Amino acid sequence: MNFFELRDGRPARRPRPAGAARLIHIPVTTLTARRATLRGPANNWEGLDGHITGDNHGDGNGTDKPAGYGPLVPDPAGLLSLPAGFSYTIIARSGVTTLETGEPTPSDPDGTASFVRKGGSGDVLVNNHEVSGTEPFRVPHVAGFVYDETTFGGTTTIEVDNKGNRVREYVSLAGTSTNCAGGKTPWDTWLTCEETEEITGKRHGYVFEVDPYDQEANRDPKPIKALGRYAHESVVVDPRRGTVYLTEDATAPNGLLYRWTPPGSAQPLRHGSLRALADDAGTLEALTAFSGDTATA
Amino acid sequence: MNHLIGSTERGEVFFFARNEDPENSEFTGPNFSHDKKFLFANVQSPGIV
Repeated sequence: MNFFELRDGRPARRPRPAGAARLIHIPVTTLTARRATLRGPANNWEGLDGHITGDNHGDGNGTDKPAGYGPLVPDPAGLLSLPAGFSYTIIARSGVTTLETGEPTPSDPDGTASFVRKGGSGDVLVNNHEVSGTEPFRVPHVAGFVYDETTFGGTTTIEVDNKGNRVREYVSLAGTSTNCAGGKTPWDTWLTCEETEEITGKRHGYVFEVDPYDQEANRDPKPIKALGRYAHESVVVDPRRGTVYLTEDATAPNGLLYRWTPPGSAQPLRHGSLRALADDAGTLEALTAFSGDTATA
Repeated sequence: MNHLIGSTERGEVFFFARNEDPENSEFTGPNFSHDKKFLFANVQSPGIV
C-alpha cells in the first residue's frame, strides 16, 4: 500500500500510475484474509429469527450459546425493538423537540459523538444534521455560528443527564452542508464532515471542528482546509502520532482513503491546533492499493 | 429491516436493536456514553435521537 501526495489539497487530478486500470483495487488476498477473521456466524446470515445466532466454537464446553442479549422484543410503540431488559429514551426528535433558540430540532441526525458532561454527571452529544436542502427542518442560522448563509446543515449539541434524559439542545455549527459522519478527536472535540462538493454561497466539502463544551470556540466557523476538499465521510485521529485518516464517499471515480500528516510545527496536535492551521498545512495523501499482479507506482 | 448489530471480541455478531418505524430509515451515529451505561444512536428519518 502506498499513499500519494495531493499537492493541491483536492484530488481533482488523481494520479493514475501506469498500468493500473483502476486507482483503487483492494487485493483479493486482503479481502479473503479479512473475511477469515470474522469467525462464527459472520457468513451465516440465513434463517435469522430475532437475533443472529452464533456458535461459540471453542468455548470449551461444546454448547451452542448465541452471542448477544437474546431475541428482540417487539416494541408496542412501533419504534425500536430491543432485547428483554433494555429500554430506550428519546432525546431529540426532528421537528418535535425544541432548541434553546426556539426552533425545532433539525432533520436527519447523522454522525454523533458523546463526551462526558462537565462535572461527570451525564453526557454531551454533538449531533450532525445531514441537511442538503430539501429536508423539512433546517439547522437554524444562529448569528455568529454560520459558515454559509445559503446552506442549512450543521450540528446541534445535546446535553443529557446521568439518566440519559434530555437537558438542552443548541446549534453549535450552522450553514454547512450535508454533515454526514465525522470523528471524535483525542482532545475531546468533534470533527464534522461535509459529504458534498457543492459550491453555493461558499465552497463546501470540508471538515469543521466543534467543541462540545466551549460554544465560544465554535463562533465564526472555519473549515479545516488542510484536510482537503472532497465529499468527506468520516475521520479518525491517531492519538499517538497525530496522523489523521479520512474517507471519501464518492463514485465515478470511487472515493479514496486519505492520510493527513500534520506539520512539525503543529505537533503534537492539541485543542486549537486545527483551527490555527494554514490552508495548505501538513501533507495530504491518498491511499493507492493494487491487486498483487499490478505494479505499484 | 434496519438493525444495530453488535459484535463480540470473538467476531460473533448479533442483533441489538431493530428500527420498527415504517419508513425504515438507517441507523446513524451509534456511540456509548462515557460510563457505558447508554448506547446513543439515531434513526435518520423521521429523525430520532
